[in-house]
Amino acid sequence: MSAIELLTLLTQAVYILLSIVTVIAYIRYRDVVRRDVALTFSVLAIPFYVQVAVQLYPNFSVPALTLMGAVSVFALVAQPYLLLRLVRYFWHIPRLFLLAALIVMLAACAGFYLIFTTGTDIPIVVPLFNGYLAVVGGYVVFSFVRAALFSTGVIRWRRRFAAVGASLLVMLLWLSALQRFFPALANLSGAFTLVVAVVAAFCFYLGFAPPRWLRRAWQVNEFRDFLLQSLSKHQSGETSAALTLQVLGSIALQTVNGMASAVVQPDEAGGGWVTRASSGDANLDGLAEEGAWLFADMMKQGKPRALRKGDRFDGSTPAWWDRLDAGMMMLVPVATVARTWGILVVFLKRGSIFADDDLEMLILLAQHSAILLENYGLVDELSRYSHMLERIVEQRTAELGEREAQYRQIVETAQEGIWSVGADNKTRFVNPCMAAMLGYTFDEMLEMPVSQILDTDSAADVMTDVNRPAGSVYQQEVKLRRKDGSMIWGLLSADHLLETDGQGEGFLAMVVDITDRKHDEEEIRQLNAELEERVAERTAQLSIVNRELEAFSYSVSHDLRAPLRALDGFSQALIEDHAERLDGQALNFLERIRAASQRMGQLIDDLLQLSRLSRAEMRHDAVDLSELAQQIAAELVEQEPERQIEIRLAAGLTARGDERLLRVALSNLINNAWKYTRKQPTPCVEFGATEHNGKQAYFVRDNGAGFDMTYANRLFGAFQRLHSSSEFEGTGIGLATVQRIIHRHGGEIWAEAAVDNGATFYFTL
Amino acid sequence: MQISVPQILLVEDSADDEILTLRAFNKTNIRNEVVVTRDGAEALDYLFATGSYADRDANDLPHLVLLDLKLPKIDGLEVLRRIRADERTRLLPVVILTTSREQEDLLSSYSLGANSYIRKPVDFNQFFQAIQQVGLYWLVLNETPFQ
Repeated sequence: MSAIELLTLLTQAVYILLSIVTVIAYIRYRDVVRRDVALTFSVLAIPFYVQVAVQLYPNFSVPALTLMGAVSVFALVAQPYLLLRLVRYFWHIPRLFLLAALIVMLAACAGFYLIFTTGTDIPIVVPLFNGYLAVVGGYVVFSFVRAALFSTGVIRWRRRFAAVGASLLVMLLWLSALQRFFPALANLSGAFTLVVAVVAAFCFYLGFAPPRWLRRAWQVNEFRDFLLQSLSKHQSGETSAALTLQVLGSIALQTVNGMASAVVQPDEAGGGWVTRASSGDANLDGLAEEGAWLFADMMKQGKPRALRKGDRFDGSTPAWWDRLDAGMMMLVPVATVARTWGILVVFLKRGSIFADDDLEMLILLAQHSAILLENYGLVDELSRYSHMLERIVEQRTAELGEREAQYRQIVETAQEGIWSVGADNKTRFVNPCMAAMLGYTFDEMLEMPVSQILDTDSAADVMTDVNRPAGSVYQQEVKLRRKDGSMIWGLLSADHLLETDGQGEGFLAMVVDITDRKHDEEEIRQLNAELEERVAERTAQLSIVNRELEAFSYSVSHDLRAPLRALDGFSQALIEDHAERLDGQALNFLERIRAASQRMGQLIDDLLQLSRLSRAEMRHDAVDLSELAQQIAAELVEQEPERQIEIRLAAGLTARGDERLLRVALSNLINNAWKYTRKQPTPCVEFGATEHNGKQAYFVRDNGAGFDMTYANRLFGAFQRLHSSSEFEGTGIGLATVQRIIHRHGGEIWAEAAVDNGATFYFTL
Repeated sequence: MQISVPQILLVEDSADDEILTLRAFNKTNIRNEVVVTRDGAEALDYLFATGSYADRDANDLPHLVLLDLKLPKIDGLEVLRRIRADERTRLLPVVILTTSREQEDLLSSYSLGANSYIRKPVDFNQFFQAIQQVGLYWLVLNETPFQ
């Protein structure tokens, strides 16, 4: 087999394969573009089918061979027209031009058929065919090349291959036509024609039916651009959903070489649709309302769609085609599994010959945008949380700072020394007060061992205390060593303190300088000791004096009265035994001696009683004063039953005190009242109680002689009398005794009186 | 040894009081012999027949002792204590006859076993009455274990 034969076989295989691939593609997808593509390549493959058929069955009849040859020629003649039909899908072709091309093509076919069948040469046919070939073929090549040059996105590659294929095919047709005029060109046919045909076929294959991997490679390439652009926007710090949608719209526009794009979203408020990110030249106002039914359907189906201008829905054509002068519309949901963001709408001026590629590209973009949006949402949320956290942290930090400042101020200005010690018994911290107390600076005290600060005994005590159960604070007095070596006393309260690294335990101590207090205490102690000594001394002296006084009193009581008794007794003896020898005056004198003696005796008795009252031990019992008064009055009445006297005694008056002493006091007062009312025609003595300065005051009242208040201050002095003995007998010691007794009870006594108008003696206890 | 009417032992250092006491006894017709001692020591000598009274019969005890408290040498309370301490004189009636008005003296006297405590008043008439009553009671009315 020669190289030519091999090449021929390859050419046949390639074209037949190409036709089969495109037909399969059309059967699979059934759209108009694939239909025309399949038609084009099926027709193109016809001459090769014929060649194969002739080679396999060489016994075809001549008419059959002629027919097959004619069909092959028709197929070639139809090529420019069929390519022109494909141009339709990306470039506007006037219907008239298309129709003219069809008519010319059919005319040429008819002409060639007549030539083949009749063998007659029809002169118009070849020029007509050549003209058709030049014009339509040229137009096709021009359109493909231009489309390839100006297109963008994935289809750029396909268009390039398609343009090369179409150009080569048209060129071959031209070459075959030119052979008539330049026979030299015939030498080129054969191998060259076959090679060009194979290359053209490959180009067509790659352009019109590229294998999946190749398309993927192109898509990835495009997609990389999209991502780069999105990310570059993202890096500028703007991550908003609106911007992402905007980028999606503009990239989609660029990718499919569209005229306008937008993202429509369900209107959360109104229930309708709103256009968010529109880009491109066309005005998309009103699209959201007009296409609401379509978008709603899309949302339900969730599938991308590509609509052409001619498509009809429920018998009507949407209004936007003509208004926008658009040929194609692509709709792709922007959605993830979790959420649908909206629908990407892209309008194309003429539609795309490779709409499926474009759509696929848009789907890819929309999906990634949705993912980006979702991620941005998450990023936003994260950043919101992070902002919130930052705010909280900031706030907490501020609070902590404030608190720390407060604590710091407390520690720094505390009038107590604050001292923290680590597990190694070295100083970790002291506050200014502590440092000042010991005469160091803060830095000097850092790391200073406890033993340098506390004296040995104190340190041991502190350690003992610190090692007691946690949670309790112990206080003790310790001796601290100042920088200058002098010792001071401190009151130290220590508690466990865990080291900041959690390893080991030191203690935290509060120290108050109590040196002055200790000094004062010592002084007080000494003073107390001295005082006690002095008191003991004085007590001893007093008890000596007391004993002397007792001896004196005893002596008075015994020795002072004995002579009086002698005076009285012998005077009496004189009167009794020698009365006859004495005259009246002598007897009178003797009586006076006796009276004076007895009076002296009474004075001594009263004085002794007064002195005894001062010395006698006090008892504190409940005393019924009313009962006492009753007894005293009864005694008086018994002594002088003849006296007519009104006695009023309040009942139920009680007090706490010494019953014996109170009896003496009350007896003196009532006796006085009794005595001084003697000259009163209607005497009255009263014992009762009243209130004086919030305290109960008892009183003894009479309506007797009374006294002049001018002398009231002399009332309670010993031997002080306001009446003469001849008027009212008495020694002047009674009230002094009463006062002594009342004072010994911690009470007060005072009197109110007027001459001849009675007297009232008040006393409190 | 003549045994006449029961004796009274008066222990009194004051001559004045002795005269007045004896006068009071006389005036109340108490004819008992009154032995007077001047101090506590002499009184004890007399009672226990020692010292200057060594030739006396210690069993011849007076019927009544009138004892002053304030005495030279040995005071009245000590004399009383010794009288009560001795088996022979344990039951001897002792009347304290004193000028002292001290409560303490009164309590001490009774707690040492005095039979009576009489205060000598300044007023002779009162004193007289007191002596009269003492004599009448202790020498006439009272039954003693020595009779």
